[in-house]
Amino acid sequence: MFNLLRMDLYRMKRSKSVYVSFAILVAVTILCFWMLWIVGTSQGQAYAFRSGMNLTVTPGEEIPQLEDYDSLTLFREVDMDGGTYSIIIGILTAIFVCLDFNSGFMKNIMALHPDRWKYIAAKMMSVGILNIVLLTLHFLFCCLMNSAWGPLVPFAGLKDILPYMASAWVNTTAFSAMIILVCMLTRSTAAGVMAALLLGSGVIHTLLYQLTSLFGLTGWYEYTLYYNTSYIPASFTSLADWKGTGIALVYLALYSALSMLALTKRDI
Amino acid sequence: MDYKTESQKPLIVETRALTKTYKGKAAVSHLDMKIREGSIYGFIGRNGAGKSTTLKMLCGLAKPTAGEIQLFGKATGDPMVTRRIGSLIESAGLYPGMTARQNMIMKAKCLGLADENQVDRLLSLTGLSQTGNKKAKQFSMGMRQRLGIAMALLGNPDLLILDEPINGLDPEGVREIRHLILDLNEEGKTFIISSHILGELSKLSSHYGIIKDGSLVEQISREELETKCADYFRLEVNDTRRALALIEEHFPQAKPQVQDARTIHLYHLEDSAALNRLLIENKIQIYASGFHHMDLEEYFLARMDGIQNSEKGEGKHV
Repeated sequence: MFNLLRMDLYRMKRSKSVYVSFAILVAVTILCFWMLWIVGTSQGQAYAFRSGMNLTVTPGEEIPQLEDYDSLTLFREVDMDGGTYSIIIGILTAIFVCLDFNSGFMKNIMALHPDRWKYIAAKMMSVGILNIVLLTLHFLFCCLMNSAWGPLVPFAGLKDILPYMASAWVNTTAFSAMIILVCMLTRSTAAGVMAALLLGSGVIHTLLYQLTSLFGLTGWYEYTLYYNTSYIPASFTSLADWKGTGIALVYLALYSALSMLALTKRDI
Repeated sequence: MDYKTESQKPLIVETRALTKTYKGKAAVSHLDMKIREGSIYGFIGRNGAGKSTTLKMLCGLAKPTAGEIQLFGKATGDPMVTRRIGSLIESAGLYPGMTARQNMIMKAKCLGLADENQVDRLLSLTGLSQTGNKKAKQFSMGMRQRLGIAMALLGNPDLLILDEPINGLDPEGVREIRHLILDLNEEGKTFIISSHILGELSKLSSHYGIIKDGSLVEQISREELETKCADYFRLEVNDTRRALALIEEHFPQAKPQVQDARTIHLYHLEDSAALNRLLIENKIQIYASGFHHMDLEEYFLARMDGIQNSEKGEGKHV
């Protein structure tokens, strides 16, 4: 299993899609911070008016909403709560996993590792490692951006950052596990990417929510990965705040087990 | 069905009633295969005969529906067994965005090999050491096959399962791979090679297995094949129907087989002059006649036709 993990990490380091994904996160972050600076600071507003931009704020007036923000809230608003990060990590997972099938390298792997659970375990670990690296770099880049633009908002304390990051990591890794399951069932990059787009953006959830709300059945929504990723508590003060993380852990275990089953049941 | 030569060598591969069905249709049916250490086993069959499915089952890529596989005397799935097998099934599985060396390192990591010298040695052995930063997606078919063989050789396996290894190779490449296989065989490695290029296979193989519709119809050693590929008489005439009728009447032991609209092969003809005379006397025009020696391709085709004919109840087979 650790041989497979080493192999996956070697490929990840050389995978263009990893760097492209991080570049997209960086680009989105820069754009978001620039827009916040434009609408949220007097210097930005002055610049906007000089440049002929149409703003709905009075010149010189600070945006009141930003007063409640800190660096963690900004990080969430930029990529996390809307599902952008989930979509990106989901697409990355689909490309990474399905390439094993599409390239035919899977035959080399499976001929040497007949215990197929090892393959899934290694994939989960490698995607988990990739996720923690991307999340951390992304957060650090947000902090860097915050410093560069002012700072726009005060920096959050570690007691808030660490639980949030842990919960976000579990939720997005569980989301990747779901994409791995889709890839094991379909062995198709297109299917994996579509699943990442539709499920990561919440399109499916919103549609189902609207439909089930007609019958008063909306309780399920709180048990989805989309909801739990979007509504991670701002601060973790009680055990109840970890409910979403617990749900994500259950999903992670379930999707891993189903992926193993799907891979075992079919020939390569 | 099993051959008796070199019976003192241990069995490397043994299958018993190996069967694989897809949606109720048998791709491989009750296959009993025996391959001894140090042999080069040419696995022959038409497209869809079940060659790749059999090889996939041997490699652990497909699960048998029924039957048993023993590799090196142990059941498949044993980690010590899988490490002794190198395989190239259908096509070389390569990551397109990686170089030859990076693909090799991937396989080495998969095997848990720390020594990268083996990677460089095998790249050199297969003529790929100069490919540098060229990505696998830019490789020609031949280069991909060479890299596939190099990857199969990683970890110094004792048994190499190669499915169509010379596909896409130029004549020089075919010769190099042939020499490589023969050299490795000299070192004691056992090969299972499936190929449609029977001429090339006959230069390599010490044993053959012929598969048809998922069933192994014959296992034969090179020596046995030589004996079976005895001379046959080839006759080209203007009227095969009448000629065949005359042959069956006057030369009942000749075992004639119509090849096409004007060609008949006779496998047990003693007096060719008498046959020629008979045909001329009966106003049958002879375009060509003479003795030939069957090669592997002709033997294979004759074997396939013979089976087909016997299935149809015509009874004209080798």
